[in-house]
Amino acid sequence: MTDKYAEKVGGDVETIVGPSVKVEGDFVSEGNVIIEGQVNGKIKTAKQLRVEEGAKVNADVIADSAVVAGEVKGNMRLATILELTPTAKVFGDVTTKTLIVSAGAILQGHTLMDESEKGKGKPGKKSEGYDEAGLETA
Amino acid sequence: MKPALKPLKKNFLNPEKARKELQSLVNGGMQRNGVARRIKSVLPPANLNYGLDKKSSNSYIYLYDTYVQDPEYKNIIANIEKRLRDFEIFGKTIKLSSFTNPKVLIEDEMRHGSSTVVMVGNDDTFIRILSRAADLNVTFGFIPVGQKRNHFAEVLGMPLNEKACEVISARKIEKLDYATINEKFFFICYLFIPSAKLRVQCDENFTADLRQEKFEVAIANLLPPPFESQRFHLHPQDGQMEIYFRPTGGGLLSSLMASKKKKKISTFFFKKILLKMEKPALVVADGRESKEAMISIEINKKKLAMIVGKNRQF
Repeated sequence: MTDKYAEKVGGDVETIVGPSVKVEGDFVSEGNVIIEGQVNGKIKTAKQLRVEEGAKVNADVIADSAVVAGEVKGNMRLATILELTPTAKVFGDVTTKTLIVSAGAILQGHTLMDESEKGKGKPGKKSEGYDEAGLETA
Repeated sequence: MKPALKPLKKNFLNPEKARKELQSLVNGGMQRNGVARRIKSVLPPANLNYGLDKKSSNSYIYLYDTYVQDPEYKNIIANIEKRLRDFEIFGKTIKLSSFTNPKVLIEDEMRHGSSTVVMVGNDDTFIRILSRAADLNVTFGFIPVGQKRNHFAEVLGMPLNEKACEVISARKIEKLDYATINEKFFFICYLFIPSAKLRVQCDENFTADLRQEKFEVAIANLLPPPFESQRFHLHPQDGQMEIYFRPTGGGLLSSLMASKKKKKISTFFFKKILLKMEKPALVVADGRESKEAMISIEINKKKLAMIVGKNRQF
């Protein structure tokens, strides 16, 4: 099992939430995470998060990188890269350095690509009136 | 004669003093092998203990399981004891009976100075002693006897019978994780629940709901889960254990109809876990069977010191 999933995430997998498993609460991991079931709450990992097709995540996500093929309802904060496959549905704000969106993916929320440009109002970037998480300030 | 060897010649008839002087030479920077070679070239052969860092043989105790006292194992035991004497690590032998409490026995011997407990037997011996005595401040060793029921020997890299004596003598010690089940027993190798609907509370951070269908549950530390057929890496020293769930799939028709997706294994790492079954379910922990409705497992902060071989599987 370790080897089979390791091919997908490019390293040793630590945590796998299978298709018939429902997790609630703060999910903290130091390694790679693969979600095939349902997670409600919060997900934090120092490595890669992979949300497989059919998986449902109702949680805020903090990770180094992520590949989403399922559904995520919550804000996502990635240190490096976020990849959305054709079956991905993300409803929430996204902060990442690199964003890859495949044809057919759904992304509904604010996107912050470069935090150093925050507040400068450039096209496609955050403008004034938004906080660090990308949410509108009062 | 070189100055460094002068005091040794005076004391060669007193092994204890000779050992202390040898140790002081080694501590002073002289290579241990160099000291041993020089001693052998200067002194007459004597029954000196050249094992500078080995404690006296009184510190080893050997716990013999009941079955090794049978006549068919007489020769094997004789060979083992001979090899232990050759390595000068033979100590007190204690024969366990069905009613012996290993923990009380070991504690008593610790008061007399024993610091190494060597289990002589098989998987059952290993489990029987460690499930009660894992938290004691001793180093454990294992001499597997006989071909049957000796899986842990392979994991620890211990050869069978008298060949294990060399590994015991080499005294390569590794610290292993172990856990407490329901605050009563210690568990070091594996736990298996063949079929149950349950809720899992992990590290007091999150819960996993597994009540939609029945799951096989396995917790692995020193042995892999029984349903994991692919190559598996053991991690008995990382301060945590792994729990694996797999849907059982019900009867033959259900298992044929079930999609491959549903049979996928879930896995988490934990330091503390609470398993609450919907109904009391069969639980097998290190070979012990019991029906439980709730199990709490917590990794002990202190680790278990175990003598292992170089062919260990971790």
